[in-house]
Amino acid sequence: MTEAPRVTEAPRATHGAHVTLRGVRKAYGDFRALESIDLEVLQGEFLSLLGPSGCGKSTTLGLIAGFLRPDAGTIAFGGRVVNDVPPHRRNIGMVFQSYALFPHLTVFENVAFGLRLRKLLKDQVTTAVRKVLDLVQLQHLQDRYPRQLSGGQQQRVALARAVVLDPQVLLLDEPLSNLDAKLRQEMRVEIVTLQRRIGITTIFVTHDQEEALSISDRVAVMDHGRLVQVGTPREIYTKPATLHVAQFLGASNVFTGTVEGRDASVVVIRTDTGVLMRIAADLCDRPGIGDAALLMVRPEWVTVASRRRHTPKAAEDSLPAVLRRVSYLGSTKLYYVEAAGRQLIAIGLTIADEYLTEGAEVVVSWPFEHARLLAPDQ
Amino acid sequence: MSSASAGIPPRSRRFDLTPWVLVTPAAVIFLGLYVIPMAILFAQSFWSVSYASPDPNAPNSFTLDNYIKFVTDPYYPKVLLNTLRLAFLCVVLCVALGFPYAYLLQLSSGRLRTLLLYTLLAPLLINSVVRSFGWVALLSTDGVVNSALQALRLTDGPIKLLYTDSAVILGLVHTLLVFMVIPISESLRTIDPQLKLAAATLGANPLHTLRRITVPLAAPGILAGSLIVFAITTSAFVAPRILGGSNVTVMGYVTIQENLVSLNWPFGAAIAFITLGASLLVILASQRVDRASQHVVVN
Repeated sequence: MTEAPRVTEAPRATHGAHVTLRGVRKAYGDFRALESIDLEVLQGEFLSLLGPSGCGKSTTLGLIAGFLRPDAGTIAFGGRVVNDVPPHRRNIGMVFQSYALFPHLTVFENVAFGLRLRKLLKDQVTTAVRKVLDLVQLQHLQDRYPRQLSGGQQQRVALARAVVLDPQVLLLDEPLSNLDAKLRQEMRVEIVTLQRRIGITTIFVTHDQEEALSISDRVAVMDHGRLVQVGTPREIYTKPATLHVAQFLGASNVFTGTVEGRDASVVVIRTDTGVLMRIAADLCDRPGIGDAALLMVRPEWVTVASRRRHTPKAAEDSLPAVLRRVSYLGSTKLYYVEAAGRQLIAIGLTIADEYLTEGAEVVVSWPFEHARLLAPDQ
Repeated sequence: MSSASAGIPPRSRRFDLTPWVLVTPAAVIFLGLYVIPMAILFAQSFWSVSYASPDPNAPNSFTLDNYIKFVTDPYYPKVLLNTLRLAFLCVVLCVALGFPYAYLLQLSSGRLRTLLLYTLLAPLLINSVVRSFGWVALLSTDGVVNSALQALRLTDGPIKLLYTDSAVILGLVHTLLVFMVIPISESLRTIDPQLKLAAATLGANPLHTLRRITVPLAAPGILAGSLIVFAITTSAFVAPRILGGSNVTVMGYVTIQENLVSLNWPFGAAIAFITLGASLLVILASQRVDRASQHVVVN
């Protein structure tokens, strides 16, 4: 059997763990915000904490920044435990969701704030501020006050202020969520470019999966105070560990069923509607016969073809279906089909696909090696 | 929008009477009971008193004598300066005590907050004469404080606490602190709490943050509180009279003296307007300073 070559995208970071969380817990009264988090962020890595609101990602960031104290566990920077170090001695840079620019100070003074506290000479402060404002292309606005700036400009000032002190770790708390869609895309690129340029270990909190996938070296998916999965964007998208991760990271087609049988290369699932489907076995844990199982296929692997055009292939599983709706998106099309009593979604390239009308009798099929076995959510 | 708003005609450019109707009662009271009497009083300050006539304070010819008398007399300018000095000291003390109080109030919640607020408001719930006599009971030579000091053998004889500037300032600050604390705590409330966190990530310890972020951003509240305290102190009468006795003379007292004792209403009016003018001058000057630093204030 040919084993699918495993694409492992090694993080760019090379110097080992930089920020380490071990068994970190945090509760607010009865609400357990974090349940024993273990996480390693590598030197120079761009790691995203991704999850819905209330999943514990902001709490995690607050603990790393030192605004909160963990109830249990340790937080270490470069091997040194910082649990008892107050935020102003942690040497972190942080960009807040509201930017938190000082409204009574100009752009220059905002960026110079930390430098002046370090009692640098006036010339040194000026040079450092100029340099970083240059980096974010804001030199010409240095005498403005924050309220005189656009959202994107404020964002860049916040970023400049956070990195000018050359911090050990850069923390970004949903910094893009107050910007409009187009600006958000631009700032995404700017943040990554800046981060690569100065090579700073960065932890980025977001609830936007596209954002997390597009800019991170690794993504840590959180849910209900737990770390559910940590991996490269490709890993967590193509091999989600749980249904929650699968659904949070993008559209998915999920079938529930039980394990019917397995051999070295294939696990066979019988879905609740009685259809047999295959999953490439090397991708799965070892489920027992009769275990409940979830099978997930991403819509981009699903092909929709009219019944007379469809030719069955050995490496594919297929289902007869009825096309309910087609959404034309320009370069791609979204197909909403009904098969085996459930709604499925497929993405096709406009140029490659035949023209299908709504209500058409079709066959949906996918290569079984791209079907995933998911662990049921806890 | 839903159909509910469909029946409402678009806002027309036609003159809308509603706000004017609503403001009328307040305007009538303000104009009839404040502006007009003030205007009469102002006119009166240019009259002269003639004790020979049956109505000594009847309108008569225009004169600047009352104002000239005030300026040239060695007594009255000293009273004015003393009043302004006391007001200034009260403001300074109110800021010094009021800022930490407001800060604590802002941090507190639940029962502590209620307690702090009641403590602050309590003096206002008591009649000012009664309140001042309360201080007399505490501060007089055989009062509570002196008895305690002697019982503890900290002093041999009684110390003069009553009828001093300090007693007056104490009495005024006790009452006026609330007018300083409320505006400061309001401006502290509007400060984005993330600013403190941001300052911390930039290496600022709590003291740095207080000095460079919190105090500058609370400046509008400090200024507003200072103006209120200053304005009330310059016209204070009861506390200076009862706690200061004849040792502490203020404008409020001489105004009453002229009006009720000497029955020289024109001169009394002039003193009142000089007090008002001095007070306004200080307020306008401080607002100029504020406007100069306006770009600094949060919008």
